[in-house]
Amino acid sequence: MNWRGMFWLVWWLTAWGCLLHAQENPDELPPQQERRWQLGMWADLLFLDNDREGNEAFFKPAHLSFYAKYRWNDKLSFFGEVAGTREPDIGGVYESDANLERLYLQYEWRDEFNLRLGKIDNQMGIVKPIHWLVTLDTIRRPILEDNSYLPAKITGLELFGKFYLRDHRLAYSFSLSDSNNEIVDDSPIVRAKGAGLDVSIAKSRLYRAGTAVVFYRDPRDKDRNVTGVLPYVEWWVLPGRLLSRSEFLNMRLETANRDHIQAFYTKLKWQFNKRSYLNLRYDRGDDQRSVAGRERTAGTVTLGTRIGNRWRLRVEGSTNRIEDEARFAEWSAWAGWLF
Amino acid sequence: MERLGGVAVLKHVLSLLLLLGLSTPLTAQDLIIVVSKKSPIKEISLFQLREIYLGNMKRLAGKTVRPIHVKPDDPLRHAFEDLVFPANFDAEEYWQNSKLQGGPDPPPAVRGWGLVSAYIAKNPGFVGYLPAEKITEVEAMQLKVVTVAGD
Repeated sequence: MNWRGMFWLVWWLTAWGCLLHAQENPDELPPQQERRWQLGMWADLLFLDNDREGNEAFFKPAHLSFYAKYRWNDKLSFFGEVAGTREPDIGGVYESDANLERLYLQYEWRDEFNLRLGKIDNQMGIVKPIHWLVTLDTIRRPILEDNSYLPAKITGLELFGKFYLRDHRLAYSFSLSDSNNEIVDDSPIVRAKGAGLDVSIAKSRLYRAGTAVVFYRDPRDKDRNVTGVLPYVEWWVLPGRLLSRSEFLNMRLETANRDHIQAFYTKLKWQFNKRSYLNLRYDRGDDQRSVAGRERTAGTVTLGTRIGNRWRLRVEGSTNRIEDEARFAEWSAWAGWLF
Repeated sequence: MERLGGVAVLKHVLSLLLLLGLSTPLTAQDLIIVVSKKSPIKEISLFQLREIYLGNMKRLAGKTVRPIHVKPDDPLRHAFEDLVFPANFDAEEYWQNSKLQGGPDPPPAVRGWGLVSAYIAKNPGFVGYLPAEKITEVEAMQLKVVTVAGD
């Protein structure tokens, strides 16, 4: 049996193991605590414009996402999501596509050990697992996420959990995957088998620091090994008011024309109240998606708010500089609707 | 005579305030944290309470633990959230994002502290909160008060 066969055999055995051994709720809990079905969807409207020559403003619905969760009992649940996306890059280029975003079985054994099987979010760093516009606090993603150098979604299995040491939470996520990068065709990872480990320590709403390490090997091209390290830190400088965050990605490639890719961002977020904030971010990195691997730097200011339970609004301005090109400004507005 | 007049004025002012619904909001001192009498939990830190009410921590003292809330419009809930969560923490957004990301489900919420006590008495794995004035009735409800330590 080859590697792929072994992978799927382990996957199916684990899935059936979870299904068979998911016990009913323990005595301490009522027979059915949570709703069995949860359905949801969100949509948004995006406006983007910049002062580059020949640019055309974009003003269209950018996302439509449907998702569903089914909970069998306290331990076992299923999550599925399909989404349509139409989101331009910094050059104004975009494609419309619809994808099965997530489809997985989750087995919650205990705080320390849990399992996801299927197509799942890649739990590496801070921004990657929350990469959707509706859950971010900016309109443009950081360069390291916009390029999806590490795939946003992976297909495989993930072991995750957390341990508590007094008032600290030590969390981990280990994944074995067969990844498919759906955003950047000439990304270092197009389709590859990989392994990833993310470990972090946090004190809730005070700080979080961690590192993700990934390894990918493309079976079609033995020269396309990729290793990546993503250290990150988040710190409430003034608890409840001022948040700082930084992530730095360094990927070592084994290809003929490049030997590494680097990208990082650092940001400050001022929380005015529960619903409104101001976000300042500085980005720098190799931008494969928008400018064919040249270096781009960007300074971004975002003002965001939440109105009622349904609406999230943001306005954003940025100044961008691409290697060997004149500086340009971009401004954007975004409205997200959850229902 | 003059003193009686002052009291009368004060009564009028208080009546007027009550009439206008300007009662003093509840504070952290106005609530107690309770678990079932059968629960091994005796003390809990604010950090642990926060983790439990955010769906992160599901075991404590070797036993399953789950949170229960009163409804969002209840002043007791506001007092609890002010005690446990930091300033400007938007719990509503947190649960919306959790739902979008397939994360933990929000705690069940019942109408009034009476249902909280009944729920915990019936399901010993739950932790909840009651008005502090009910401290003398906790024993009769088959509950016990848990000491809350700082962060």
